[in-house]
Amino acid sequence: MKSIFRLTAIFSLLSAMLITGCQSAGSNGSNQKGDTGASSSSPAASQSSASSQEETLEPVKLKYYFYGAAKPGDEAVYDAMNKILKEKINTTVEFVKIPSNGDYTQKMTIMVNAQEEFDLAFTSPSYFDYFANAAKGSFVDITDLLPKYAPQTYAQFKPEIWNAAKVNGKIYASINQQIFARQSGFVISKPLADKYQFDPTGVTKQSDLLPFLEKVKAGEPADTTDQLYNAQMKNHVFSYFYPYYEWETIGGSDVPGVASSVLDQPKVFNEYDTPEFKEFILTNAEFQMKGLIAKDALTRPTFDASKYAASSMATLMPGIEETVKKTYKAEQYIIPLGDPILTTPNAIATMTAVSATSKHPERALMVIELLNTDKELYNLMVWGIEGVDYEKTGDNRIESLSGSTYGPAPGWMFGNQFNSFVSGTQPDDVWTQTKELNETAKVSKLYGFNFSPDSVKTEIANTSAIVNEYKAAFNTGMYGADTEKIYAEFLSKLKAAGVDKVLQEKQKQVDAFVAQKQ
Amino acid sequence: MNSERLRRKLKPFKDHRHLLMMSLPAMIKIFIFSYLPMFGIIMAFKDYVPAKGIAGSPWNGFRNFEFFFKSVDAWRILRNTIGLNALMIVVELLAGVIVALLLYEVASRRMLKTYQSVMFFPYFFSWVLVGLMLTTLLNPGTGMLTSLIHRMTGQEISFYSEPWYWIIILPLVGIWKGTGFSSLIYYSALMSIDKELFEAAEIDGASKLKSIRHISLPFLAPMMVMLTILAIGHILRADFGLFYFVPRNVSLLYPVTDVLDTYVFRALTVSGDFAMSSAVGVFQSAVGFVLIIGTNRVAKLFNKEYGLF
Repeated sequence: MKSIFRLTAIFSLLSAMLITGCQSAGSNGSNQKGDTGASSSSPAASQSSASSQEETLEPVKLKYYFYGAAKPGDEAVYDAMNKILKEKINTTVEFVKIPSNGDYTQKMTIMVNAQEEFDLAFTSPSYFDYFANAAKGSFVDITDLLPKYAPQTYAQFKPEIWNAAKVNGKIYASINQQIFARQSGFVISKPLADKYQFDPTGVTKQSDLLPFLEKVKAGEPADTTDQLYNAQMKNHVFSYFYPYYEWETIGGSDVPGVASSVLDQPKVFNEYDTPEFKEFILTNAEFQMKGLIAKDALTRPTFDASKYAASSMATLMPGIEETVKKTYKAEQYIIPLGDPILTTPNAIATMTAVSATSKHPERALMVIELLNTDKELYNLMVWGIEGVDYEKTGDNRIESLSGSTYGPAPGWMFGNQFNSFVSGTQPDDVWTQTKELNETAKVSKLYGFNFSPDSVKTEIANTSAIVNEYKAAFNTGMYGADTEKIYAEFLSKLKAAGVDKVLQEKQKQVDAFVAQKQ
Repeated sequence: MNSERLRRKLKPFKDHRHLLMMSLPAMIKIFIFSYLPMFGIIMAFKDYVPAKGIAGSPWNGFRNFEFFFKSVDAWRILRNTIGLNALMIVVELLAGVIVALLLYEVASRRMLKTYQSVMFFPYFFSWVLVGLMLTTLLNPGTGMLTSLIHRMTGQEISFYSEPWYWIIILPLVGIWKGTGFSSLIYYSALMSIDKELFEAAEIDGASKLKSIRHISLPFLAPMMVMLTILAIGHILRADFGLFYFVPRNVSLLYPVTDVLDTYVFRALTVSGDFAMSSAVGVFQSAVGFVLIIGTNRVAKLFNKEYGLF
């Protein structure tokens, strides 16, 4: 008996050594490779002669993760993109789509923890949490690599913009060029609003939609009115309204504690303990009780986007009419709330990061550079192949073809959206307009501030678990008449989980940032 | 001399080499899936940074355990896990034994096979499928059962927003899926009873119930105790599929359906902290270990034969 025990002990120790041995060898190996790769090719880059660089580039395969539904036409488009990539930087990229945005964070987080090898990934404060992963070392520090391997991408933003992407003073992802100044609002179905003579211009809050939706509910056949209001149950819908309230999230949208960031001395407070949040959930409950939000919103597998009569929108941008028309399959009225505002989370709302497990970080940055500078490559990714997925109707204007089996690939998810073709009702100068909006927007006092969560990790894990538990039910108004009671319970749970400690820590760091800036 | 002793020591292995060979795949499986992962336990005491690897991450004592024990849900989760599992152990034991006893009385061989197959069938369904099937029954508005109730009583029951229904629904689903299998175990134990015992009892004028009580049950008792000991050892380890997929992870039902495994999964996927989740896993295993040793002791107190080891 004893000897058997000894034997297993030896065995297990041996295998433990084996495992750890493999691991350290593996990680050392990849680090070294990354380092030597960077140093050996840096002279070539500093000479900045593109042709000489080409000659020395060995063929490399990269893996790029982002989200979206897979379509049959994807492969053809990716092949066409890889032709360009192969020719220009001798690189082949495997584009991998995670089917739903709700699962994206989850899948990527597990991949990072399991040390899965990949090279590029979409990241943002709300998807695949940029702050947490940068702090954790999931991404390569590209502060020095970026100007070297993606000089034009680096040059397209002012240093202040790059400051927004800094975590502990270093840049961990390349910012995608798109709309930074954020303004949220509602979209309302034009055919329905016209039919029921509803004037959408008067809408300033969600409850203003009530009379309209009730009329639709009463007037339309029952089988088309089971999901009139788009509750977006998995998303953090309440945060859509922050730009309107002039609030700003600090360190990821699920962690309680926001600041009113246009004030000179921004104050951190619990966004859930506000009249605004209470009104939000009570309105949702009323919508639910009146049958305006799908009754089975929590268990229904798929929703029919064309049935929605109204929906809240996180970000409005020039040319949005065309995008929402596509999504909801009908013309929409766009109702903006408040003024556009430029905050840290908005400037870095969409980014592309290089994974720490990448063996070729410098090559990954070259791909980022091409997506930002090569118009042909970028438009392939966003619109597909000419003649198959779209046709040109003007110099820079296109129309999607109905037979297209590619996309939609949202332009803000990769590279430089200012290189995109325009389509539909988008004005020709949509990108000039966007640029202007970015430059003229109100700027948050906390612009460039990033929260470091280490000292309150336990409290953050516990409070965000509570937020996530209640989020879907609050979004869909499922608590109905009990909402007020559950709301009180929710607040006291947050308190017990240490929300005050998180708020204090946030305030402390905000104060330090403001003081150092003056 | 020495080789003589060695040979004597190896003799049992040599004698049973066929049996050993047959159990080899199972042993390898257990080694790979149960022993090797044990090194992950050290992760529970570390501040895991993926880039540094498990070995390279710094130690941080019991800080990871704080996450669970400080959470406001700790009580609710422990209550649900232990409460529902205890309920299910009892209910499933009863269902398994009763069905086995009933099957034993079925005389027609063809009917017996039919009953067994029908009851065994759900055992092969995945929990995801079971969850979806249940939704087609219980979904508000469109569910078959909900609309039937609505038509008959005019009441609209919202199963997915009222947690307390699930105290009944979950064990029911568990029985529906598991009884076919567990009754088979008891049935095979019944088959091993010498038929003459029953005949003798019948001649002596014992009723069916009496012979069940005095013959069948005592024969089943060791098996029942053994399976219960094993189940109690796993009382902190809830069936993830049952608790996650069957209530469709609807957060309104957490007051009843949230158990350790689903909580860890959520914490893991939301905050992505492997170290904190493995701390809870270590806690589960430690308690399970104590429980299994404890129950085994208690069972042995009643009857030496009942112990598992």
